Amino acid sequence: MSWSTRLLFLVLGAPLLIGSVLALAPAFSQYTLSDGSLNDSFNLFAGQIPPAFIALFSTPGIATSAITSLLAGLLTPALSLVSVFLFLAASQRGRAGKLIAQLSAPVLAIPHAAAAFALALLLSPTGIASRIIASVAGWQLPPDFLFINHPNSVALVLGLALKEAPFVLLVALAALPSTDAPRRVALARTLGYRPTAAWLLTVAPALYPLIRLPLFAVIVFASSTVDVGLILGPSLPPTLSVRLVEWFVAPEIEQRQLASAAALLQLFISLLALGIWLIFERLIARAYAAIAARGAPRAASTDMRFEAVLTAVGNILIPTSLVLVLMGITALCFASVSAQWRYPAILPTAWSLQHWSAALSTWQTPLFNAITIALLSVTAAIALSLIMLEAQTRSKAGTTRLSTFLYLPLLIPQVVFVSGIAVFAERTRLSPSLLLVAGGHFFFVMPYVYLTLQSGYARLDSRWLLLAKTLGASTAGCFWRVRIPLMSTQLITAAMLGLTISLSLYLPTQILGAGRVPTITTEAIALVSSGSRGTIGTWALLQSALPTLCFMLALLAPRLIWSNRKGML
Amino acid sequence: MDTGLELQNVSLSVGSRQLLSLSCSVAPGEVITVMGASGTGKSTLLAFIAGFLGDAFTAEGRVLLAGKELNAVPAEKRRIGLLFQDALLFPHLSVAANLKFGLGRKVGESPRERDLRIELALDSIGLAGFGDRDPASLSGGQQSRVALMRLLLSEPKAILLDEPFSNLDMQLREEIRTFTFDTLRAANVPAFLVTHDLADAQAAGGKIIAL
Repeated sequence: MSWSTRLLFLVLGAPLLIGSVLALAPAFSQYTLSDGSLNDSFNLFAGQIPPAFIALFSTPGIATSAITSLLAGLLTPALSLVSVFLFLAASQRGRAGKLIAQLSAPVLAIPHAAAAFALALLLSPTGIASRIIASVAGWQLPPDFLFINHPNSVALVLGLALKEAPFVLLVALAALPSTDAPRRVALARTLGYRPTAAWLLTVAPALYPLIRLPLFAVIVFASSTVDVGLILGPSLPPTLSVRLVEWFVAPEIEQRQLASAAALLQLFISLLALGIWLIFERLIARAYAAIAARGAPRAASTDMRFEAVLTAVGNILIPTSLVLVLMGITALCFASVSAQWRYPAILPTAWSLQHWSAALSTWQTPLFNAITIALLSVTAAIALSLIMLEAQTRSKAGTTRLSTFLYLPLLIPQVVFVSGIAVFAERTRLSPSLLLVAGGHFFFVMPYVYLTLQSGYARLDSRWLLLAKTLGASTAGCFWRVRIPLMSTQLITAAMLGLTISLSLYLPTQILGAGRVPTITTEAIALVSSGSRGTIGTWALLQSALPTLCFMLALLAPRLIWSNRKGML
Repeated sequence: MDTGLELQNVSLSVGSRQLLSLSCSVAPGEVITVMGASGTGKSTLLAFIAGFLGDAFTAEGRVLLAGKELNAVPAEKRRIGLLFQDALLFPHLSVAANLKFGLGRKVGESPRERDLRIELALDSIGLAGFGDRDPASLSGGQQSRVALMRLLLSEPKAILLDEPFSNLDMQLREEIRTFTFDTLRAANVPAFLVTHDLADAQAAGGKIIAL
């Protein structure tokens, strides 16, 4: 192992392992009562079940919670993948496709929680959608149908997919050029296949392996999300991860042990979701092989009606999700300036800036905290990434094993290891602070920052550095005078991506800050139970503002800095 | 006495396969041409002389510059300049800053005197007043001239040219070739040209080594 790999293990791998172990260990300890006495003793090695698990499995509704998490973990990536692939297949040559892809990019900057709030305001019984239908159908009362927080979890999966589908789309678009798609489709068409079917049969199997790892991250995220689960998920009972956090933050020690057992169950559920996904991968690969072997271009795949349905669905799903996001944000805007909004009026019936003035009187501390945490974690991630990438370029050593550590924070459910890190901090008497929260954010920022900068390193023409050397520049001079300015666009992208992620993070902030380090995101989510449409709208917009600003900066900053250097753009 | 650039029993190989073996010396003001088809190790030879041979290669023999052995000297200390196929003007720097990048520091020279040197250099390549320009706004021929001037301002003790004219169109190639060789002769440095174009070799006017 090179020293840079060791360093990465030290800062990423070791805390992840320690965190996970500490999160899970209490589940196997003896059951302790609040007064410190042991309630029950057991012997794990004699085959007895630890009391924490007995308590967990006798908790009402725990199976429902676990199944909800599992289904969210499977349906979200499935829905995202299907809509992205059908969209790419249906919009191969169209200019509209390109436009839609460009419009999806900013959705990535909107925090999960804000998107969830937007969907809630859109689809609740008194939401905009219901009001629009009311104006057509003549309803006077909101429908007696709970969509948000319904036990069927449709809203949860929809809310997650609204954010994950654009992510999958951008990852797929980045990988698409290496599949040589136009030639594959052209070949299949000369053999008699219709375009959309041709794309699905020839390009999709080549594209899928390239976006597999990001999809795994989506599976783990969707099966363990806390903030979206709180806002859109069912409430009786909530998802496993939401309950886990409730137990974790409860003051009683039994609850802590229950949380620990739940963390193990959460890890199992996320891994189970991955396992089931892998089985489906196999089955679909087999089906593909069977279709290819049957090779009947003049059957279903040439059938005009089949092709038309595929194309229509492909053209509808992603644009619909964009429309939903846009309408949801409009709903947030209206709500934030409404004083009164009687059903079934589509627009607020009385306007006011009271929500904004109320928010603006309390937002300084959360804003300051959010920005400080984001800057600290992103600076650390950029510095560490550059140190490692420089070390690798200079030593010319292999980099294969590195990526495993890097992906770990995305492949272990956040709740599991974040709660472990919190336990570690408690044991070592690290009090909740901005620095501790920033340390937690670092794990989630680092993978994306590193991968962005890594591609920048790979893309930089090595002749620039040779040239600088022959002109007498030292190694440090090459780095500061050539590498850094030439990679400025990637550096800005990495920084803005990191800031966007950090600004939107809920769980690490809440758990590691122990509620004492409020940020815009934690404040917004704390309003879930308030039920005030106006306050929620205001804070959700506030929460989205900074990441959106970062996103625009990432696009504009290079153009401003290099306005007189065409070769840099 | 300055003996220029000398290669003594240089032999380069990949694994057990030998690419080339060569001994030669280039006097100051002389341009020696090494010709060969692709895959004969021309670029590898330049990388070896300049000091950044990849790990995959093994090299034997000595490189001497003005009588001093260079083998253990790192690339940035060798004072061997390279001219690539492309002008490779740093896109983030102005034309003047590109020229200044490798400009040797003279004792007691003020910033204004340095600027003056840059202005004179620009003037000598027919680009007076181009200092503040974005390099991307220059024509291909202008970029080639700036690249050559940047190289000379770094005061190299020897110059390596890696097919420097192959990316230029026919008309421009003639003009830049003449300009480059005239400038190199005037600068009185030993130069080592690698090419597969016989016209380049003839224009260089020195010895030709075929690999």
